[in-house]
Amino acid sequence: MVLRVDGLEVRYGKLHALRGASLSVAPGETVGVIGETGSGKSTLARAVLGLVPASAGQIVVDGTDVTGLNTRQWRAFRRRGVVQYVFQDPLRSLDPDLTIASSLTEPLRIQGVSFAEAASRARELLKRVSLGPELLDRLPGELSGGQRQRVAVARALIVEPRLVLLDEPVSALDSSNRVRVLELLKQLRDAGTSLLFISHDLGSVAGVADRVAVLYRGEIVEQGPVRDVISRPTHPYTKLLVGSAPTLRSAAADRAARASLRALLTSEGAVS
Amino acid sequence: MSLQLTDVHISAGDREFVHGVSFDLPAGGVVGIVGESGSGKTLTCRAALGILPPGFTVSSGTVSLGGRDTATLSTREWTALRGSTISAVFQDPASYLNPSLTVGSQVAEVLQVKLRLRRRAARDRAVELLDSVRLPDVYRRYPHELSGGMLQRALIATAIAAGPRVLIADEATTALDVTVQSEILDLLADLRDSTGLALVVVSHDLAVVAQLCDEVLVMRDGAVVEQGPVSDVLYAPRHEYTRLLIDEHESYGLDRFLSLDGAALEGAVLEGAVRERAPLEGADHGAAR
Ligand SMILES: Nc1ncnc2c1ncn2[C@@H]1O[C@H](COP(=O)(O)OP(=O)(O)O)[C@@H](O)[C@H]1O
Ligand SMILES: Nc1ncnc2c1ncn2[C@@H]1O[C@H](COP(=O)(O)OP(=O)(O)O)[C@@H](O)[C@H]1O
Ligand SMILES: [Mg+2]
Ligand SMILES: [Mg+2]
Repeated sequence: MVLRVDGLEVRYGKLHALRGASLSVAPGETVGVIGETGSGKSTLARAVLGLVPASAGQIVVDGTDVTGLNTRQWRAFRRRGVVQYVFQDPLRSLDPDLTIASSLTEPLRIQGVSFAEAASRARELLKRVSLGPELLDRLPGELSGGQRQRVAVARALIVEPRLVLLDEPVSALDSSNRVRVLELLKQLRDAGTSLLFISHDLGSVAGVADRVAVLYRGEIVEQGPVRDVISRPTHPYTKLLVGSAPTLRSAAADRAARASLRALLTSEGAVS
Repeated sequence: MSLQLTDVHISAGDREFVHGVSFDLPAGGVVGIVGESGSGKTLTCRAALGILPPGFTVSSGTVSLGGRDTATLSTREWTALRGSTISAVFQDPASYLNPSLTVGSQVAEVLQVKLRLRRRAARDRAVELLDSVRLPDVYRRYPHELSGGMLQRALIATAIAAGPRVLIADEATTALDVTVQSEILDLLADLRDSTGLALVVVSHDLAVVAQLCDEVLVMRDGAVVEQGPVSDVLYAPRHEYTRLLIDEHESYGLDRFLSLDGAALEGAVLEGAVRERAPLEGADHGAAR
């Protein structure tokens, strides 16, 4: 497994953001994590990156148990470039003061790769995400949102990571850029990179992922192959999610069915 | 006829931004407007509401409300119609509520101003309205205590407070989670069914519009490139741009899975819902109104 998360609990003070989440990503596999705002998706990403501590459970990344690493050990682990990440806002994945060239080559330079080699890799990667070398001297602020997000993906790939975490990578993009980035993610998947693709939009995830895990109020309530989860959802939240998806030609569920699923979720929420 | 636009052009100075929009919205009807950002959807809505940005005018064509050409209305008459005949909700509900006043008092204020209700009557009616958008117990809550979906429902309560015949929802669900979006859309459909409210639903997402509308307008760069009954537009799109919107959905929407397994899914959802419904009648009561 490239990633194994077992019984992960994360608390922010009194708030129990993850309540025993378990999931795994096999080599070459793309796993989608889907859930509503506040369900704990970003917390999961941050925990895997060592940015928030786990209060219980275990996270194993490419054979390394990272749960107990201290800050210094984390820094060393990150430098190996096993896991890379792309966030919703590319300005958070890219340093606004660094040119695209520096942003792209920095992870390689940290690994001691020569300047010339890093520069040629940067050009290659830009090409891979369908961007021209003329962007190398620009700052992130001088690029469109879609271009920035593709640069963020290129930066994540340059060290040939085993796993890329993507937290809402297309949520801030307009539809044509969204499709381009999703196409790019499909190419990565097909080239064998493991992806953990986090989104609140089941449609985006469904087009790219092999498996999907549904996070609801800090718990993974359902996971399985995309087709199974969408066509035979078992948890009421998943049913409501699928039944709420705006579809063109197939009415996913009717108003009455959604109303009773909402009532069911509300009554369960009141109990727990 | 609740709202009728006839070849509406919108300009600022010598630049025209909207090049002729027409539709007829009867009571209880739903018309949808789709198009990418900047295509002129909001300007069209604002023209219907008589609130174009400064410098913008309806340079030709007519907007009529309840059979009356709005060009003949004085500012005062417009103010009286807005809210009581036509009303709207937008994408960012938080910015339309005063953060320092309770949600309920803001709904009540609309009732006092628009319907000249006394304080006590306005408060009672506001409680009823909040109930009708499935927000019991929020009268005394402040905007920051509500989620995005709850805020949008509070805004809908405010928008329908004075009993308008037409409600415009301009990207009203764009910023919301899909399950919350469906809750708002279902609420609008319920209001249409129970009160004959006519709706204009604006979205950049063709599928959102397709759920609810009878007729759809596809806009691009200020022009209506395609218009017709939803089923015609979806099944026999004539314009390349409409086809693009449909293709996008087909490659990245759930339709793919649902068209193959649609029957199974619907069975699963409905069966689950029916099975789970029985013990829930009580909990469901507030929503039934
Ligand atoms: N740094 C933080 N401090 C306190 N609470 C937080 C923090 N980050 C997130 N939360 C809370 O934890 C829950 C899960 O948040 P998050 O993981 O960001 O969800 P998602 O990404 O699914 O929207 C939410 O209730 C959120 O308000
Ligand atoms: N207040 C304004 N001032 C200047 N230009 C505006 C204003 N509102 C809209 N526009 C312009 O009019 C066009 C249509 O805008 P709009 O109706 O808001 O599009 P949509 O709602 O479809 O995204 C855009 O080119 C936009 O830049
Ligand atoms: Mg998040
Ligand atoms: Mg708009």
